[in-house]
Amino acid sequence: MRRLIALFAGLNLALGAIVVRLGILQVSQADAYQARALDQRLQTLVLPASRGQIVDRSGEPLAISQAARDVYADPRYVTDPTGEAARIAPILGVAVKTLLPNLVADASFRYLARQVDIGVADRLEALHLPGIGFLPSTKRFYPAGPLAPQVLGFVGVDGVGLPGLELEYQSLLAGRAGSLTQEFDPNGQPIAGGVDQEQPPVPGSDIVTTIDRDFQYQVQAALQEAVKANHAIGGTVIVMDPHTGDVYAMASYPWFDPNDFVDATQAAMRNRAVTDSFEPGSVNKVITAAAAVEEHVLPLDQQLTVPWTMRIGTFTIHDSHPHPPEPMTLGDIVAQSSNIGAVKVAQRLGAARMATYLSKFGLGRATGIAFPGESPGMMLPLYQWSDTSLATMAYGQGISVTPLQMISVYSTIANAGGWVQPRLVRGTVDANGTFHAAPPSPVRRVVSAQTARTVTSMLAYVVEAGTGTAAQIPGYQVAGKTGTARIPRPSGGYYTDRYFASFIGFLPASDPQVVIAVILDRPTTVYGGIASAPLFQTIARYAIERLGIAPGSILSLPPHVFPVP
Amino acid sequence: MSQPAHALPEPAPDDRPLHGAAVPVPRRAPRTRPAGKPPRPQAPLRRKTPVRHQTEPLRETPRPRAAPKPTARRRGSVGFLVLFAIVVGSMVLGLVSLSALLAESSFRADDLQHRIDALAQENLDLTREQAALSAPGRIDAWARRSGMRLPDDIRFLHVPGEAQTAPAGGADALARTERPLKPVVGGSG
Repeated sequence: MRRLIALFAGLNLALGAIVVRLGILQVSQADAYQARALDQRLQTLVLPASRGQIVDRSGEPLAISQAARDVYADPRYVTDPTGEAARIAPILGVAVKTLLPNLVADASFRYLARQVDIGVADRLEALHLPGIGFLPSTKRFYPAGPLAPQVLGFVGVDGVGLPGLELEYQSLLAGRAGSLTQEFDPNGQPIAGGVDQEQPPVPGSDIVTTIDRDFQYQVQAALQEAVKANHAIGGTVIVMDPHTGDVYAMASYPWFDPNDFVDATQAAMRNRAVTDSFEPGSVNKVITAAAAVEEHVLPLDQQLTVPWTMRIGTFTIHDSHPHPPEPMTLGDIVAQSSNIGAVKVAQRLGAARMATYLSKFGLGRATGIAFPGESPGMMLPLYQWSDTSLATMAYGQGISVTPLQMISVYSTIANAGGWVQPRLVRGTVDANGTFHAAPPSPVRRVVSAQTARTVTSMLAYVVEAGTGTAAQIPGYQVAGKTGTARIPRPSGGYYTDRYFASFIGFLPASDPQVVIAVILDRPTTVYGGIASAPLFQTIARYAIERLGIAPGSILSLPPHVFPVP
Repeated sequence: MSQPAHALPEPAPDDRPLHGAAVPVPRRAPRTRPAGKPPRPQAPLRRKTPVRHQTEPLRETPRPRAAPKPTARRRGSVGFLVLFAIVVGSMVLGLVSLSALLAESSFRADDLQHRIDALAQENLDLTREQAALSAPGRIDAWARRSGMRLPDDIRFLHVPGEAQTAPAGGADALARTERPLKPVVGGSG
């Protein structure tokens, strides 16, 4: 009897314990356990947003994204590291010894390759190798290869734009990733009627650039040829619409293929047109001339006697070629690119007005083109000018500018005296396909339209009879200016055998449709009129064809002493 | 006077039937013991029902009702069971069918999603192929291989009725041009 009672009591106790535990599980901790159970069944997948395209002004693709796979290894499940490495290596195109450390590592996750093409990933997956897995990824593809690579930039393996427009418009291009939360059974199949919450991704917007793809290609081909022909170490070309500020082409040589940016050098990655500054040399005389005309410091027909050397303080300045003292009008000074003449004009202006016009034309500050790393150039503030500053700045030494700043100066003249902010992006196309035009570039008045027209006639005279005759195009009146700038030494002074040869101009002179800047770095042919003007002419001819530019009427030349051939 | 040894003992007082109480009817007659064997001592009988005193009034025994016929009762139970089975079976079948339909939808949605992914991938591949084929570098190389070249000169179409000034070799030639002329791409030297 006692045993029965004990057994009964024991059973009751056990049952009571079960009931209590059940109560704890089902009542007091029910929510927590329910949540844990749900958590085991739930899987949240990140739905990556597709990166927007970068297209040219006509909608031709310059950068597109494509699906890819990341290949990884979980070394804990790799059964035969050597054998698996030997089978994977030829498919991925890497050495076995590169893969092996990742397959034997004391880790649970190691990347074997990133952004692998889908086809390659499929071949690997078909091998069913233990411990090898795949993750969805995307890869940026630049269908035209090395076309405007410094402008476009590239995208890193994590899908983030690094330099160029890919970086500048990262947030717009990237879009917003979504998520998909679902309940899955142990077989990995979604449970019908279970949790199914989807936050759809928002695709990135397309960026519509101002670049003309075909024109850019022609410009790059011509630049490469000119660099080689002149034995230069590099070069920069910008082609721009003077009225809208749209950049049709922007090329910097050397360049690289953004599809294979890993092997690119830092020098090749720089967009020299925007990030590098140089002493412009004689192309800067257009500012001196424009200021003189605007300020009426020198009548157009007044002749100055110009020697070939002049002493400023302790320095002696001279023209590029010896010549006896010659009478020159302002037009002659610009056309013959006389340094002494430019200094004489600047002295009439004075340092304050000279500094004002340099600043009004945009030197010493970034243009605001919306490009990462834009350089503002370097211009000494007026209070730091020395005795020689006014003189050297008059002919473009002692001041540094970017090619983009310099083409903006000429664009101002071509745009009837209005400075237009250059731009690389016309607008964006959202996920619905709606085009959102970028706001028009801001314009500010620098000189009067009359002054701009007068200076244009001087620039036309440069090409007709001055230093820029190599830029002539039959049937068109071209306005432009040559520049041959010495390159400063880091330790002070200038190299005697290193120059930037440049030519910046526009056409047709009477109704400018396109402005072109050509700058060659250290050509053996030295002079802008010899090294760069022919390249300007080649590109200008492309522009005439591509943009359908009509010849226009002819501007009369300014008063001059030197005869026109 | 003495009694015979084999005579039956008188029944114990407890074994005597009580007046007014139900007397159990023996189903068969008590067997007589074989002769020669002594009778077993009689254990006292246990009384399952309390002993009623004679003074307690007698209750009238209820008259038993007429029990339902066994066949009708069985028929009712079978009907209920059949109905129950039908209802439960229908519910189970419905639930299973619904679950199967949902599962089928899930599989179908999964298949469609895979198909969408495959088509999107195909679209991307075609976009890439189209972009690569239209790249200017490829077209330029193809054109050069085919013997084509860029024009050496620019020629103009003169639109009838408009100013006819042919540019030829310099800006001066255009000095009297009033209206722009349209360039034609493709003219050669």
